[in-house]
Amino acid sequence: MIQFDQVTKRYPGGNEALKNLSFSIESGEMVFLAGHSGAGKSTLLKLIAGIERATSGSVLVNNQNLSKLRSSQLSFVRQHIGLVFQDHKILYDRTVFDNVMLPLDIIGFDRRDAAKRVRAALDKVGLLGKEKMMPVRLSGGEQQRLCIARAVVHRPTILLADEPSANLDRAYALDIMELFKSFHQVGATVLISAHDETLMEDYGRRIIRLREGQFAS
Amino acid sequence: MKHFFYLHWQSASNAFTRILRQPFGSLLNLVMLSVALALPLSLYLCVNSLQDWVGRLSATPQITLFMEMSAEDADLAAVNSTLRKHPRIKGYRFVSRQQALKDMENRNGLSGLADGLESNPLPDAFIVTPATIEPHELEMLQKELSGLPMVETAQFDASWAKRLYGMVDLARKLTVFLATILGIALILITHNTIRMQILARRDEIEVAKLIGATDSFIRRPFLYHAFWQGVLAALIAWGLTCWLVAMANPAITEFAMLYNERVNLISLNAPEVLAVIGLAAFLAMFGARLATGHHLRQLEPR
Repeated sequence: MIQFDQVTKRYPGGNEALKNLSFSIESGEMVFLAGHSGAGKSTLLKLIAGIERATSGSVLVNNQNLSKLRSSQLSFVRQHIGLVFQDHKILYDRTVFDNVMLPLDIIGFDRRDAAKRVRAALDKVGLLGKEKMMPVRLSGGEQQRLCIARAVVHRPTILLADEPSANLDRAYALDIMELFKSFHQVGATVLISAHDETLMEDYGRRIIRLREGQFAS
Repeated sequence: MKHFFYLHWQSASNAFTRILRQPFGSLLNLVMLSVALALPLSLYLCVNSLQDWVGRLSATPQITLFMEMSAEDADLAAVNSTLRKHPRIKGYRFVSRQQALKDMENRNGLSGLADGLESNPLPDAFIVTPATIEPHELEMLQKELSGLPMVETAQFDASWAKRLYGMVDLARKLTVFLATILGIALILITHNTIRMQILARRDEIEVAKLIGATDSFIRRPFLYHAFWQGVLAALIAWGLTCWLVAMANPAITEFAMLYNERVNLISLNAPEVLAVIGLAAFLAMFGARLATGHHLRQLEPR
């Protein structure tokens, strides 16, 4: 599903975020990505989503070599990926419902079927009663769940979450982990990054540990 | 395919409601755009009406063919048939030498003049109205006509026609110049409006790009915004010209009456209105395309 082959990412200015990294993630796997901030977790996720391009090496997603795609083609790759951002990236000028509608608008889903999908996604994360609210009135945990609803509403085959439980207390964080687990159970490939390893260890899944852009042993 | 139209319909209606949702800002923009359109349009109307008037003017350049004194009926008939078939002649009338003498007597109060003359000194003549007012063509026509058999001279007032034509031509060139300048202004104004829109919605654009929006998906609402702006501005500009015509025509008619002329401004006809709307929409979308192309590249997600 996801394959890294000797991937190096160097940012302008010389900062090497990933150094000669090779690994693969099977379809339907649920994998954790651990490491301190600055270890390269976010960069790794951005490479999979085609938001950044590898400096050298190849990144294969769904058997497509992302470095060989034009940026217009990367958009289509991204349409099959659900992204949960550390900073939510919620749009505050529209309702909860319209935020979740955005990915369906982008892939051009029929509006009536789309409304059902949006409600289903909101129901899944427990925000169904708040669909008409503006996002500013949601708590931090609710905003994170809104972001998750938006990431899964178009039923992506890959779900990437960058520190989804950061800034949340443990009870909320566990809630969110359970959500990801349920998406994994319906067949999605899930990759979750966190700097707090205690949460991951309870799940007994594969953990990729990064330190300064390399595997930490 | 249905999906394709659905997406476009959605963008178009969204863009329209976006314009309505900011009535004040939109109105300011529309006024700016419609003034840029109304100025050259008004001038165009004036030139058009002037040309129409020049065309109808009783003193439209005329060429008078004076026949040789010895011309016979057969010669007259030959010239007559040449004139009838000529493509560059709109009309002509024949003035016989008897008729000419009678006219002269009447006009100048010289009754009895004919009695005092031994014979009629006036020749037969054809008064020809050419189909063109373009000086060069007129000159060609004059040369051609003077070469006809038994025609002594072909005469016309070239300097007058040249002056009139020059005036209309200058006005037309001025219109083209103004339309070009203001067309560019229209592109720049929409470019700027759309640029502001993009900056105001940069969060939305960034997020949309992150979750897989193509450039054309992001560009589409802005292009439709520009499209509606162009169409609405053209409609307002059309309204302004109608107002100008309604306001100016009574005064112009009254003034022209003093000179016994029937002059008035002619409103735009339907094809012209459609052309203006189409052109305005096109220019606005062109400006928007420039703005989106430039700024979407800068808003690549990080």
